[in-house]
Amino acid sequence: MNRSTAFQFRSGNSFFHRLDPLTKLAWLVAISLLAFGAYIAWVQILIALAVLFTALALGRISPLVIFRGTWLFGIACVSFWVIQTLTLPGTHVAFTVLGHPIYAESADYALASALRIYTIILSSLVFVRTTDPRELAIALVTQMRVPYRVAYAFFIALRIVPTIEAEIKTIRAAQAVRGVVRKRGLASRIGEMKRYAMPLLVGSLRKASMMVMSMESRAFGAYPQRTFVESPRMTVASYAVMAVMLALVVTWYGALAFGYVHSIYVFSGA
Amino acid sequence: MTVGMLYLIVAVIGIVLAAIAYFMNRTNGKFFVAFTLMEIVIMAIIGVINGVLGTPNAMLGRLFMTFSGSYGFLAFAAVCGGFYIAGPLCGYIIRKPGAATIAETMNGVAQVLSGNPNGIMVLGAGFLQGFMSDLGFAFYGYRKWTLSVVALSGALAPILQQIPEVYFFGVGDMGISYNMLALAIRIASGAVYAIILVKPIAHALARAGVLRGTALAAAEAPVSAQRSPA
Repeated sequence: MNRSTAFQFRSGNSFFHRLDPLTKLAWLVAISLLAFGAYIAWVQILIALAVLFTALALGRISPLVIFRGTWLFGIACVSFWVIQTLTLPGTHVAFTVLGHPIYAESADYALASALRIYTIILSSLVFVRTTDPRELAIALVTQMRVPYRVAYAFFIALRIVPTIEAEIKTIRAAQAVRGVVRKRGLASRIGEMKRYAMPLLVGSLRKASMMVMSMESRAFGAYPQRTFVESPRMTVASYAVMAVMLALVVTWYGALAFGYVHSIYVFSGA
Repeated sequence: MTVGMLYLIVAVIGIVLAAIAYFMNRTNGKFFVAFTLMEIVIMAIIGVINGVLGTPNAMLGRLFMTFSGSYGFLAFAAVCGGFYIAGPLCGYIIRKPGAATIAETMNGVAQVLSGNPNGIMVLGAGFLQGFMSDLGFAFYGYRKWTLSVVALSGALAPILQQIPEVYFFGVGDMGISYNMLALAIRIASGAVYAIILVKPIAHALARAGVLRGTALAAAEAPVSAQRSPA
């Protein structure tokens, strides 16, 4: 399993699987707001641990899937942390590495920045892994009042996304048969992307076009409103999750506004 | 003048441009044109594919910014045009008001769902860049489809979109000239990417026959009919 397959819905019976898509979307927005509300390491560690707990315990996502879905971004985050720690200026030297001073403020800020990115990616993984795209499309219509033609078009697009990798493999094989040789290196990879982009777009649009014809032949869009046999509903758990997330966001931003906490690390050591 | 004031002026410019576009188009009945299902699907597919491909680019951009220090944001601005392409492309293909806005908003949603490190901010950014892209076409009443109009659509995309990014990337402290230079580079990048990519991609898709029912396909049809053997 690679990264793209980790970022795909898998049915399940976890607490998060049972929540309606609107509540999960609100959770995703709240996590994003909280993560961007503070550049302090301990706050970001708490948020990251909370999201990791949600993924493991409430979403029942296995550690292997989390690793497969985020390892590449994890490496990038570690790089951010190291580079920013080494390069950002500061005033309070925490320790030295090979004669190079490491500042407490820079190390804290760098860790917060890196963790924030990882938290955002992990929260997206939790949302995508536990939310059925079809349910999301229905929730967009029934709960968020998006016109159903737009919601279904988005659903069609989301359905095509997981097939992109398989499409690329087919295009690569077709090009190899015609004598196009794969080369190593960044420049050749960029060139490859250029060669793949058009067939990929044409293939996706052709598939979507067939779906649209099929839907229209069944009178899709004939009426201004449509009904659904099953539509996601908010439960007591949904309201509880929303209330908790809203309280956390309001409390944090309120504390920031009134000066009880700082958005960046304030060093108060000797 | 502070950087905050600079972006307040930029926001006012964006709103004034939107108002001008509105007053230029309010009499020609082109404001609420319904989209067909195929048009909505085209916007969704282009927006989502651009969004999914944009997420690794955003990550690379982040890494690039980290490596390059203060020059990183400027260097990243040079390749930002790639993020704005869905708007001008859909506007050019569908040729109806709102096409660029919807495509870029879907682009933003796809980026959020595929783990964009900039989080929920990309949703707002997507909407803003699509809205401004639409204005490029609105200035010509959705009637003129030359390369210069496409370039204008790409160039306008970052005008409002840079404001939330400046806050999130924390480059507001870098001073007015730095921020103006970043905006100028983004505008140029948006225009260049639109010039290089929009027309070739759109016409190639039309030739492939996957833009059935769109305004571009209709505009291409007489040419295709002349070229086809009797």
